[in-house]
Amino acid sequence: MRAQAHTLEGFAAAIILLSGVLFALQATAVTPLTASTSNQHIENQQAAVAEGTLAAAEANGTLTPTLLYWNTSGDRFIGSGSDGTYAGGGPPTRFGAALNRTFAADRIAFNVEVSYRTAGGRGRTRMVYMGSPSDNAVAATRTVVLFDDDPVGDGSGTLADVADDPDREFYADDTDGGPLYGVMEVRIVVWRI
Amino acid sequence: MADLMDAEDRGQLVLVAGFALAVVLVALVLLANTAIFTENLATRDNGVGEREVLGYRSSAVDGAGGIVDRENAAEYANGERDLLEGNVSDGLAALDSQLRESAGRNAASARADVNAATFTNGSLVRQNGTADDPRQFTNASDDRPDWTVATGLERDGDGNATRAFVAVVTSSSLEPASASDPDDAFHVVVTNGSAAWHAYVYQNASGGIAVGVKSAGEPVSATSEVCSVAASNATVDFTGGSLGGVDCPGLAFGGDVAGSATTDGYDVLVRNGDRAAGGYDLTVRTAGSGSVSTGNVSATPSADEPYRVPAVYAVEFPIEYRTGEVTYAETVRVAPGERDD
Repeated sequence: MRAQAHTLEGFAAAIILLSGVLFALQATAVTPLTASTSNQHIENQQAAVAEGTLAAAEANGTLTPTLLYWNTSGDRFIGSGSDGTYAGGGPPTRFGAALNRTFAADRIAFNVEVSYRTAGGRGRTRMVYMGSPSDNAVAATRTVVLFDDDPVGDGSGTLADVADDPDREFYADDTDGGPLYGVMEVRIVVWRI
Repeated sequence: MADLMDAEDRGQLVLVAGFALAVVLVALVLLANTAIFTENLATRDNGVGEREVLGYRSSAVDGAGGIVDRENAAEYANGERDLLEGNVSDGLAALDSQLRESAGRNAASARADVNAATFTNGSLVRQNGTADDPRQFTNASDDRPDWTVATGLERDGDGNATRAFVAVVTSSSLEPASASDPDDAFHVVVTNGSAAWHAYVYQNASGGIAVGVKSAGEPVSATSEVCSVAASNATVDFTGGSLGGVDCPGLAFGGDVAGSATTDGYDVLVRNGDRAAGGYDLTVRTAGSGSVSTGNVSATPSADEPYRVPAVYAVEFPIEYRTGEVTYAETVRVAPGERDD
């Protein structure tokens, strides 16, 4: 009888011990060095890369032509999918190629959207939409100034020409009577998939 | 109290030891977690937001530069300098309003003080030729090939006195020459009376459009070809230092004559203007003693002769960008297309 009690106590102690070890392992499952989609270092790095990509595109002048890569008669970005956005990668411009090289090639998803002032508030146009971002997505924004004499990508003339033509439309409207067309805010959201 | 060494009570000892170990492990887990959490928080810092500040600054400077250039290119009449500056101010105010709104959405306060903007007077000199409809780079009244564009151009502190000097030239109009003997080719001279810097544009041996530069004080044989491009026409950006859209590092407008060390005014001259055709634009600083040569440049817009219109050479205004973590204030100077010193 006593031997049985000892055996049971031994099992009970073992279960407590093992539970402690298991709890310890579970609680430290995500360390800063653990490879995971929610890793903080990855988020920091992605945020820096996103900022850098936008800053470089603005500095070498490839961001503006991408914002102007618009089909004014079809009312969508040139070569975009049925919902007017690019889904499989960046737009077919130099900025889009930079996005693909930087993010898509490393299996990082990204969304790009442009927001701008409208008569009643703010408008937003999606350029690249790869889906709803995860909780660990990071964002970077950059403002780009467009002018009335900037040429639209489909060859139909300048933004001012398009504004004067009732059959054509650009996604943002002219916000100023002078040579300024508008300040566009480009926002890219990146996350690991 | 039980005798712990009694074999009958050994189960209690094992149980107590088990509990003790479990408590120790839980404590270790808590410690390790605290360390990890601290490390995570410590590395979460993504800077103080300096990237947003620099982004705002570059948008403000680029936007203001675009407004200045476009208002200048709208060619106001000679007495309309106030109207020109007023319209530039209005443009800057519209730009400020939109940039402020954009910053506000990122929990930052941004302000460009347009009322405190100061303008530097200048003149835009242009000749309306294009690559398809080229015109020779001769003067206005009597088509002389050797003429003076502007005199007494004074630098102001860090700022230069010539900017956005861009010419389109056609290859067929250029004189065939080589860097060792470019004297017969079209050239732009920057001189302060004692020293002169030359930039030659010619057709080189392989038929391309080439730019040669001779530093001040050197003999003409010391001219070196700094870049070339094979094309039927090309854009030469004398102040931006590029040929055909490609950087041309050896081409720094004026060299030492217009460099930051100089305090004298300098003149800009054209030589052999009949050996190049196309069109060009340049903006010069007419504040101080600077002036555009009245005899050689028409005072009213003209279809086929060089002419001048009033222009804003530079505009300076204070900007300020504040977030909870960073305050940035600076007076920016906007003069797009100056050479990099």
